[in-house]
Amino acid sequence: MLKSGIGVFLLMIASWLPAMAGDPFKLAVQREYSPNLIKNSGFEELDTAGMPTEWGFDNCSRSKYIRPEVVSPGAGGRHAAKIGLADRDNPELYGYWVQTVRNMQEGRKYYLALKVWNKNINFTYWIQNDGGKTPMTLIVPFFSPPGDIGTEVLPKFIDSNWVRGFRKNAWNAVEGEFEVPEKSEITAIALRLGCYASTQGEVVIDDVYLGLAANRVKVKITGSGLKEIAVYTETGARVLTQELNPNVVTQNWNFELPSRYTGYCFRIEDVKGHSYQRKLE
Amino acid sequence: MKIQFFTVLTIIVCGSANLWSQKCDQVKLGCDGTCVLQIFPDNQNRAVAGTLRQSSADESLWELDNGVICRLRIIESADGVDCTLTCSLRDRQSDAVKLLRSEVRKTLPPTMNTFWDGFEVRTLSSARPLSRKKLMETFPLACVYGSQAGFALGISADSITGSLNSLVSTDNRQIRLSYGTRMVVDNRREQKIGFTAFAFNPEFGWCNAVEEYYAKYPQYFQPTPGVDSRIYGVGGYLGYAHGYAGFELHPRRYDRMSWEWAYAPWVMAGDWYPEEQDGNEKIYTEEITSRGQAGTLLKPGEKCSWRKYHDFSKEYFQSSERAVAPLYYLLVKNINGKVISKFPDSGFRDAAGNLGSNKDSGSITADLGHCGWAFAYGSGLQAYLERKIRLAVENYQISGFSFDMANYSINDYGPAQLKYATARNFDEDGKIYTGDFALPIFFADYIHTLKRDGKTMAVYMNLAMNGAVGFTAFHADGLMYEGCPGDCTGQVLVERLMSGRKPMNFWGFPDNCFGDNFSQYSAVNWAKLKNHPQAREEIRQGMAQFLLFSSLRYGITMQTWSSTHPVIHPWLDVITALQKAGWHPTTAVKGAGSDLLWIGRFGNGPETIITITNPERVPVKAELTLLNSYLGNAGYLLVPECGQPLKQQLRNGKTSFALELPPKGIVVMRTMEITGRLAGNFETVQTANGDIIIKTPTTFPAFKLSGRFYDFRHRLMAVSTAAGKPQRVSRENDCFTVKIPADAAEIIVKACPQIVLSNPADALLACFRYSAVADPNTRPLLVLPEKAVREELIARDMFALYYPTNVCSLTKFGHRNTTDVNQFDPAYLTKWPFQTLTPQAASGHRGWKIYIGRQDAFPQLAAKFTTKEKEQLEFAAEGMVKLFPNEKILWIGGRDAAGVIAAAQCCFSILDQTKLNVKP
Repeated sequence: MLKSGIGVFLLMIASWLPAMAGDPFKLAVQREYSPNLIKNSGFEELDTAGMPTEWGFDNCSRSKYIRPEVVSPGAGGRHAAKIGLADRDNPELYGYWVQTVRNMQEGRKYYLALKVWNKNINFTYWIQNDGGKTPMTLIVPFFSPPGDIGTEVLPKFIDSNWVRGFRKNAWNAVEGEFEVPEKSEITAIALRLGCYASTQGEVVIDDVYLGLAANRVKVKITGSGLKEIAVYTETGARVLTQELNPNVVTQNWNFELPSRYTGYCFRIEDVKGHSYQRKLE
Repeated sequence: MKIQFFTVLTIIVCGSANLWSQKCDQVKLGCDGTCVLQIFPDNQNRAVAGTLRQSSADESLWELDNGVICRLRIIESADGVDCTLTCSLRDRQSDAVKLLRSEVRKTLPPTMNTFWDGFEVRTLSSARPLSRKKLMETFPLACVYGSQAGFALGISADSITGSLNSLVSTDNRQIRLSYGTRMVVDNRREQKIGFTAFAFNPEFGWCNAVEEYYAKYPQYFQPTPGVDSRIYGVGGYLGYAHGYAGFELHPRRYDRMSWEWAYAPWVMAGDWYPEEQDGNEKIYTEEITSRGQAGTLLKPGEKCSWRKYHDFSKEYFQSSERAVAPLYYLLVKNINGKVISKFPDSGFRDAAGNLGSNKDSGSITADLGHCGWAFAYGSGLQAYLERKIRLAVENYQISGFSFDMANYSINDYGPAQLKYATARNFDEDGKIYTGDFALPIFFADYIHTLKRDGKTMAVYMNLAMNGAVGFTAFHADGLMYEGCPGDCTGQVLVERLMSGRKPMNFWGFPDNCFGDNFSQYSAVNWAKLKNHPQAREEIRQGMAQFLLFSSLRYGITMQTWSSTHPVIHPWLDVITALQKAGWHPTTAVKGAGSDLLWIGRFGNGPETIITITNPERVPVKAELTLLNSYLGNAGYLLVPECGQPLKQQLRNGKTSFALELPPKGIVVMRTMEITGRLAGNFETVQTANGDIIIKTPTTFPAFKLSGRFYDFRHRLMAVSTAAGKPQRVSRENDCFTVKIPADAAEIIVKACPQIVLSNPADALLACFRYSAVADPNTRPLLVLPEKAVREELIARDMFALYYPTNVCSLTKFGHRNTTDVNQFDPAYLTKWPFQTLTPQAASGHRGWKIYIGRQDAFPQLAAKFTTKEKEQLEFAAEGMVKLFPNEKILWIGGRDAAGVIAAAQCCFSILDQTKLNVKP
């Protein structure tokens, strides 16, 4: 289960990349994330009816064959939220778990992450503004079986780093980012997590996180003869640069990154002109 | 004797006639007594009892206590039993409606512990039963099997039903496999459902059961006889290119598009053939304008009359048909509200009885905000729409229809579906509905009754990438997969199973050109690739390779968006040949390493094609065996197309061979049918010029080899021993049978090119070089027979358009073979005008003449063929390009009309390789 509040990540380069043992530096990275705006994000707290507090369920298709329930175990904790569809063929079956998220800020980018286990039917998430003057809808369909074997087959043809999708019989991580438009006066959104246009099967959801995408990074670099450290995106665009004093052994650098979804890496240069690249996890 | 009291009494219906009435709640199908049929009220587990009134060898009458009469037609065979159940009400005047579930159950030995439910394989344990209660993505057959035996149960392909329910349970002693479906029985229409139950040999697991199913219902797994054979090729859009007067001929030659998804060629959804009294000028103007043709067909501010619109449409299809088979677009459930209002019963209703709206949907701009869902069948809309379809066939030069959204997306509770009473289902509240998947079936069946120019109208359906229903696919002639195999990858096999041996098409880009919304269906993280051009290019290559490998595995062609990709383009001939040969679920190939390879089998007997690809990133060595019995009743040798010799051993009905395939290696192999002594060691090799050499230390009396699609470019011509002794060849249905002398250890099968060239290519086409054509003084004259046929006229136009198309493409885009017709500049059409004359009128012309026509159209020239040329044209070649230098004549000729086109295509392929001296 993902903890709400500040998530902390420590990275010692030497410990995860033995080939780097000869590196003239050590890098320790701490990332601080925005608090989780989702309440009861792991569906652990249940009401007297056994349903998760803070969450509602909308049976949009008004079918008795679409059933919300809490199941055990979850991805990390004891519980998870399930939507089960029973044995009637009806492509219009859809429904979702919903929570209204307040204190959203105009013009800010948000990061959403959760875990999904699904069988036979598709998982989808909706984000819909609750109030405000500008409509905002984001519908992201994620296909599950029978589309899932792509994750097994595609790495034969392309770099597996670019393959995504749902694995069978496993928790799958879903993540994405969206922005609340400027001057939209949107302060709340409805986060809907469910399934759409499907039939017999189930979707189980757990560990929902929604918070500002911006995150703080604290870097401690230890080594001598270092000239510069910079942050690049995966695509090679330079984001930030910090000059280093070659004569100082331990130096700190604090900065903010705009996204959790985008991949970043460090490039460190020493006075001899050597360059080192390390992924920012 | 009549039994008054019973609990579970079973009547066995088999060969002998029963002349008395029997009470029973199940009927045994077949003599061994392990297969039974029962009828249940919905949601009840106790079967309805009834009285068996008559029972003969193949028909029975079973009168249920709930007022339903069941007629059973039973055909028993050595492997199983087929049963057609027809239900109606005893009281023909009754308004009663019975909601029932019919189910066939089979008891089997406990060794069959693997369950395939029509979608996925699961292993049975004694703990809990396994079931699948899903119509979508489900082949209507389930089976259980062990290592030695299997049994399949399902719904017959000639049925149309709205629900499928397979269930298997086991204890230590036996397995119970059942298959059921819901039925709504009333006096509106007799309800008919077929069950099939059969044993199979699970040599390739559940694939054997599907193979048997295809064999039982072959007509549902191949196109309707008589439809345009061009539906087998690459599909695409022409986009109303006739405004560009024939520019489509050469781009289509290059991207190999052979059929067109002719998108929404009408002015209102449902008014599929606008008639003179329909609509108004504004609508016609809007339609022509929206198709991007206003600039060439309408003056600014001009209103378009019905006549102008009509002529526009007629010209469009006449033009399109010259290049491809136009399939007229319909979305059969999406109808404009103006049309629905004339037939209010047809409007879809939800479970609460509210009229369903589909206002956001509309295939053309004029329909947006005005459309609704409509169920034509069972209302007056049926006759209205069928008439429109018929008029479209009568008035437009089309080869059939393309149905969009033929997958299952909505249920209709309205009065029309209730009345039409086919494939009805009912919900948890007992309300009756029909899924929209049934509508394309009804329309397709009607369209197959229509013909134009002797061709049966074809139906190509878009099954999308979800919501596919087998019964819908069974009534199509071809199936569109609306994406690439990287999108919803597992669904590709689902839809290939449903389409069987019919054409299928990947309607997508290897790249993510649909944008981020669509990319959500993809297993590639395109969003993250957006700003990563180098990786994106590598992914594009990989995805194109994945598309190619999937196409070779399943015999699926693609859209023009993909067909010109350099990874795919060289394989288009092969992929089309695979489709035409027809896919098999069983590969017939086993052995060590086979699990790492992708193997496809297509066609039968001597016309079989086997594709083997290595999708892995490392080489794969395989020791493989081809099981001959899957191909036919003879022995079979494999002939690889790759130029590498293949050693193989034929023994006991198996052909054993070893392969080592590099990463992403591809081998395509044809088969030779050996008759007589069926054992020995062989080696086959195909030389660069297409000849096949067969070496054998033993002898074999005869073999049969397909002349058709031989190596996709050549045809079989003659057979000789290594010593050059010609062998007698007999021909039948494009297959060649050769009897071999006992002492022949090496046989050479000589290939003849598809098009015979009388001279080297350089000399052959000199009179048609750009320099000659650009100068009016040296431009050749085109000569056609007096009564030129369609293909000759098209070939003539292709010659006239070759330089306008290529020079325009080169000048505007910097390269030849641009495929986007709408980007061409019509000004080029008037450059380099060719004069066309008949032979008589052309006789006085002193310059070069290009004769275009069939062999028998120019008998004086044909008389000058050499003996070898005559023989080649008689037995193998489809056409020739022959130079008569003394007469200054170049003849682009064919054995028949199709051969003329093939010969012309050969010329253009040669010309494409030459440098075009025009500065872009």
